[in-house]
Amino acid sequence: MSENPICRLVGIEKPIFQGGMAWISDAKLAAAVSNAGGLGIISAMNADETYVAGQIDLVRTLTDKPFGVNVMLQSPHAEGVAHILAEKKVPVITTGAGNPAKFMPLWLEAGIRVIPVVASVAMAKMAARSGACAVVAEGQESGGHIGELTTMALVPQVCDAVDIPVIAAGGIADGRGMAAAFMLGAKGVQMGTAFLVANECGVHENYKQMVLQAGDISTVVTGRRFQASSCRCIKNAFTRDFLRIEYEPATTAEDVGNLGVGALRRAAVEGDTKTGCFLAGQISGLVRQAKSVSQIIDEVYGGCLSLLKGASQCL
Amino acid sequence: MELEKIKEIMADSVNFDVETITEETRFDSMGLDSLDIVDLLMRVDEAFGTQTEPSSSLVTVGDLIAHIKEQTNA
Repeated sequence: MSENPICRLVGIEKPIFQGGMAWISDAKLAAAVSNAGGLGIISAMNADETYVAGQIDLVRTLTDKPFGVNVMLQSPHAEGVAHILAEKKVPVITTGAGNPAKFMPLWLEAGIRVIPVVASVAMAKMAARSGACAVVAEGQESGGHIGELTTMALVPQVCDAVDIPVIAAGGIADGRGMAAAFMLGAKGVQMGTAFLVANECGVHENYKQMVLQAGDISTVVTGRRFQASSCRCIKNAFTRDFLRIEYEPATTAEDVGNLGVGALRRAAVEGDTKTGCFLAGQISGLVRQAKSVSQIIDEVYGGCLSLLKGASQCL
Repeated sequence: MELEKIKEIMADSVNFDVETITEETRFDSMGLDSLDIVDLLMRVDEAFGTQTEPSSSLVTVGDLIAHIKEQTNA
């Protein structure tokens, strides 16, 4: 096995995680990533215990490699899902949208590796003191719910602040991004958008086409007016309507929350390019071609290796 | 003592006008986002040797002071 600390920690061959994307990261995609040597992650999103248990059972029929489940801590089913994950002793849990401290004793007792996604140094410190074995430092280049800091600024500051390994996320889709993340101090990377267009990803074809056709300035952040609801997605009729309503003086935080209800499902499941919300990162412009998961991982990892081997020639 | 230290932390971390802060000041009236709150709590913990998680029961500065006193048995 690789000497890389993330690989050793979770038992994988290449330090590449696939982000837990709601309505997208299912057992099939996660298994493909794990079988290709990375860490596949199932998104528990807002689903209940029955769905999550079914996905865990399914992924175990598709791979014998380690996998993870991403828990959205603000989900109404978070409590029940937390217990199912402990009961089923999933190898790895990543968390988003909050502080997992409440569930840490339960998960650690079950022998689970917990790796929270953090958007600031203080969040990383809180995760580390709760028993997290690593953190994913996610910059605001990412798709979906985001913080304020960029990957370039966030990752080295988190690396300096905690003594557990850091996985960089946000704006990474090729070997250059992965090599840069390592130079910032990260020991691994997490990618979402790059895997979204993978052959094994079951998201609606229209969603894949939206990402493949996106350029460098194709994404926009909705929800910035109200705290804690910033969300990066591809510009379309939905985001234009959303932003117009968001900045009308009479609009409330609750109104903004309601605007997003069901929009991701319409994008990912129905492929509705007008009323769907197509979460994707700023790196979409670099994602030009549908490939297999193993091709994506091999190209990113191989590209990173060759760049790092020749790094001294940059000077 | 705790109030003065919290004011000092807030002045350092978010350049807050600390003269306006009392024990009755509500966190939701300060214009802090969720990342600011986590940052504040972490700085408070490092200063007092406490362990504080973001919680809906921490509404005012006074609530935070009570929590610090409870953990430090002051």
